[in-house]
Amino acid sequence: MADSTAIETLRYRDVEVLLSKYTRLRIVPTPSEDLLIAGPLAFVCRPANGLSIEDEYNIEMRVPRGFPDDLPSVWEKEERIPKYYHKLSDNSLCLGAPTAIRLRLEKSPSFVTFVDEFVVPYLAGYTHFSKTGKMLYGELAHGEEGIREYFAELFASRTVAGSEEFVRLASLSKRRANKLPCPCDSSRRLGRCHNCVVNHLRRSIGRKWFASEFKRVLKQLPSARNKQRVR
Amino acid sequence: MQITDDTLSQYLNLLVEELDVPKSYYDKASARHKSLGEWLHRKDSAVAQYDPDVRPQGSFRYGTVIKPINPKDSYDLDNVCLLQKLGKSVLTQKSLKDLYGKEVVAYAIANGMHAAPTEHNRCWRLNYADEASFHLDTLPCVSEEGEFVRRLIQSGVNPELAQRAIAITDRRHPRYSEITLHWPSSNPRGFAKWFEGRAALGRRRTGVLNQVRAAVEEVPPYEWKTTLQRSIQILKRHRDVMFRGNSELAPISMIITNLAAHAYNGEEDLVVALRNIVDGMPRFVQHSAPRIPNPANPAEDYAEKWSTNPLLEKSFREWLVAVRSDLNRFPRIINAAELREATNSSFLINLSQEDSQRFVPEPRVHIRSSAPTIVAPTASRPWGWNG
Repeated sequence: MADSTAIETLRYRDVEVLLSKYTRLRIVPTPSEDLLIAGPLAFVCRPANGLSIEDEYNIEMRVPRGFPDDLPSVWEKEERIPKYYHKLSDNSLCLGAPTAIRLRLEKSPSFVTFVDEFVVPYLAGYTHFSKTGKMLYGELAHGEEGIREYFAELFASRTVAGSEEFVRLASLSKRRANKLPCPCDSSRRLGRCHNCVVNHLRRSIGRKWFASEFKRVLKQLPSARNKQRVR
Repeated sequence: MQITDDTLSQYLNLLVEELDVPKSYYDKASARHKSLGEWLHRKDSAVAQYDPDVRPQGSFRYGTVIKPINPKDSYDLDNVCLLQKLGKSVLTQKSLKDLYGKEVVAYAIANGMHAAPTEHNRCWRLNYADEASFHLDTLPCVSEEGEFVRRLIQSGVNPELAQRAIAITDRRHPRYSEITLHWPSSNPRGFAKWFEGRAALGRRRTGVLNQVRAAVEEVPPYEWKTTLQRSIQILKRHRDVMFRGNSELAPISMIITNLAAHAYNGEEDLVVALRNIVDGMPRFVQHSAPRIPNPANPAEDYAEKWSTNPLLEKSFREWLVAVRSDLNRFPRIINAAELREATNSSFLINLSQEDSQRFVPEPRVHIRSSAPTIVAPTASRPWGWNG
């Protein structure tokens, strides 16, 4: 086939690996560039605490052509999982922080990694939650606080407030970002403070990712949006 | 316990039996071609003087017909009517199409057909209303001129195939209403000949047939039921099932037939053949146009629509992945219920309890689940941003 489709060939091999592991998932033809995979996803999930969670969910997974730069969306089709339980506005599953998923896929850009490490634990987590009322892997706070908590953790900052500024700095060029104040409240510029972690993440998944992530974050953080207007 | 290749072959052969149409359908198809041919040769026929030669085409000729998913869907019959004593230099494409159309319409009236024939871009369609509904696409054409055939041979086409090249009519052609030598070219009869050669690879190796060689030689190719033909039937059904919600994206039968025939190497066993065919098919898709050429006329591209609709190529590749995944899945099936579920989801065929147990005997030790085990000591902590 055409040389330009060498990446496509790898992508299809990857789908084959996924389908050979989760044998009841199927490719569903769709009139778009996305790859649509749907069907019953059966699993046995073993978290660390000696539990064994066996279940099956009917899912639909839409993989954009730009995977892994663009992340797949996953829906649970039988409405077992209620809307209040970690779902996004389009009713797709909120599998985790997009940057965390993107960073993991940078190291292992495969559909199997995505399903094994994000989809299955999420679904097993809900099975566990529905039976015990407890979150299997813990949970980030809801709303603004949770988002800032996550970015503070990602950028290894002790200050949670304003941690989204790290995302903005990661979206700028290294030269520019290093001259700006570090968001950790150290009163130093980034180049003399948290530059290593920001540079490393920027190098890993690129400025473009952080630029779009920052836009997304702003939508969720009204207070940060106001700050941007002032800036 | 895994399903062995022998058992898998038996299973696939059972599926083919389910998919196959009764021999009477082939006989009926053959009778319809013959009847139209006789009509065109009758005394008052406007085309009799051009010595029309009607030959079947398509899956009824190749022996790869399968039942439609929806029993109400009609079977496609195709034939090519070559007006042997007519050439491109004496009439326009439109004149030929109209001339032929009058005869087809008169045929429909004379045979009391309820629906009038409809004109399509290249052919005329006759709609039969029977217990199994058929429609017959009949393609009027004239022979390609010698120079064209010589060029085909020079480009490497087998002379036996090249000489079957024809010039066809197409309403979309810019010079449809002009007398010109520039007609669309095709070679369905050359393709059929080539296909029969590929299918026969498996036939020659089947020792059983040797005893009845003389009789078998009389058998038309559509009755051979070679491994290639069976493989194509399985592949077409898989395609029909996978694309039943988006049939406009489905790889066309000619692409499947062409690529399968290329990739087939005379394997006798159905499982071995299918695996080799599915693995080999992508090798015969070219990098640039013609992406999937007719071996009997390389300028004719069965994938010509891929250039204007890239989703068709994507669908083809997705389908290949799906077939490969299913072929890999079947040997790993662990119980009869799973085999029934897989047969239904891949082929929309309800396997009986008895048959499924014949292929996958219940294991002595109960296996709880074939679901993969995922060890996940840590995972993303979820949160809903709209929460």
